[in-house]
Amino acid sequence: MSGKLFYKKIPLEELVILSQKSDYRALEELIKREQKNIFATFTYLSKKRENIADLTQEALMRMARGLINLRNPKTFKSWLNQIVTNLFYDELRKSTRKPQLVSIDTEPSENSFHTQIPDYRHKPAEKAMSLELDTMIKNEIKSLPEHFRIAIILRELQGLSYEEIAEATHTTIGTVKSRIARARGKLQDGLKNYI
Amino acid sequence: MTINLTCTQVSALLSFYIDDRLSAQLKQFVESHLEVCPSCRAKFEALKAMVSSLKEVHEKMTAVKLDYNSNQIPQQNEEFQMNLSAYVDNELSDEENIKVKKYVISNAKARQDLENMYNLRKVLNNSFEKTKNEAKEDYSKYILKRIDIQEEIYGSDSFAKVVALFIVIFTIFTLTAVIIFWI
Ligand SMILES: [Zn+2]
Repeated sequence: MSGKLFYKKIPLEELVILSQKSDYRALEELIKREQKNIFATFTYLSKKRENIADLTQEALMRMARGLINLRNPKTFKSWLNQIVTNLFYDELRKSTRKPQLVSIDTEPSENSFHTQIPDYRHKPAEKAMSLELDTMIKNEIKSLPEHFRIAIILRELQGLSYEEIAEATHTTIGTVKSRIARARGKLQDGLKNYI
Repeated sequence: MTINLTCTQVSALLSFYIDDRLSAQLKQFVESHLEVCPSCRAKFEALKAMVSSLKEVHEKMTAVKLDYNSNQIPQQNEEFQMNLSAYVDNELSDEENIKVKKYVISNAKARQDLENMYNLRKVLNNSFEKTKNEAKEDYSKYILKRIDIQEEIYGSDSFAKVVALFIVIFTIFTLTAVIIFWI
């Protein structure tokens, strides 16, 4: 049996264990399996398109380097999402220093938002266009308050439980429950003409 | 006086027996049959388990009050919206779960909300799958190379330390030997 094919067929958990034992081909396969998922996740999390590739690389690097410290291979998925979440918050911290990326954690009234804070989310020309649903969804998710955004992504796209999300974002299960519900409410509002 | 009941007779009496609705005498006849007949006893145990689990569900259902404010439309009912969201995530306790179900069954607008919630999920998942498939970049070689380089640096670094230490010890040893020899 060819080596590549062999690694392709190994279940995730075993791949993690082999990678921990410095099996480079296992690690290579593990990176290949996870990179699309991580890249896609940052596509929804990062407001800056040009950061997505860097964030993905950094997450994979932290995964590859930190794997040895992962005690229970069964928790790999939530462990990896912890890395993604940390990078997301790191990026936010860096970007909040720059004036154009005002955090919109509180929901400003339509008026104040458009008149006082320049809208850098999409250019006015694009805004007038009828956007494809997928672009629409990404824009809606990116315009969610950051805590809502990470919670709904970890739930809907990564399939984590409320408990795992609470752990990754350092908060309570009750808060996670409320953030996810409110994120859904906002998304349904924003997409109501499309879904 | 004892009457020996047949298995068929006991079977017919079992559910009355479980509900404690037999006369004292009949109850005794059933009991003495159950003592000697394993097949009727097995039937009895199974029936008893079923009844008690049904009772439990029934008690839960009636204990859960329909206390979502029914004057409010579901869209404005924050508690319901929050629990509906947790309901689709399978994150509710049994009791809250039943509460949501009851409300959804009895309220058409709430049912619409649930449908919308599932729709949103479907749309999000489609979008995510599409985005995942669009990610074409392969970082594996690059990451492995970076790790390799780091380990090489780290490896050569510790090797250099060992060599340096060895040289120092060797020098001290030689110097001492030379000094001793000269004395
Ligand atoms: Zn019998």
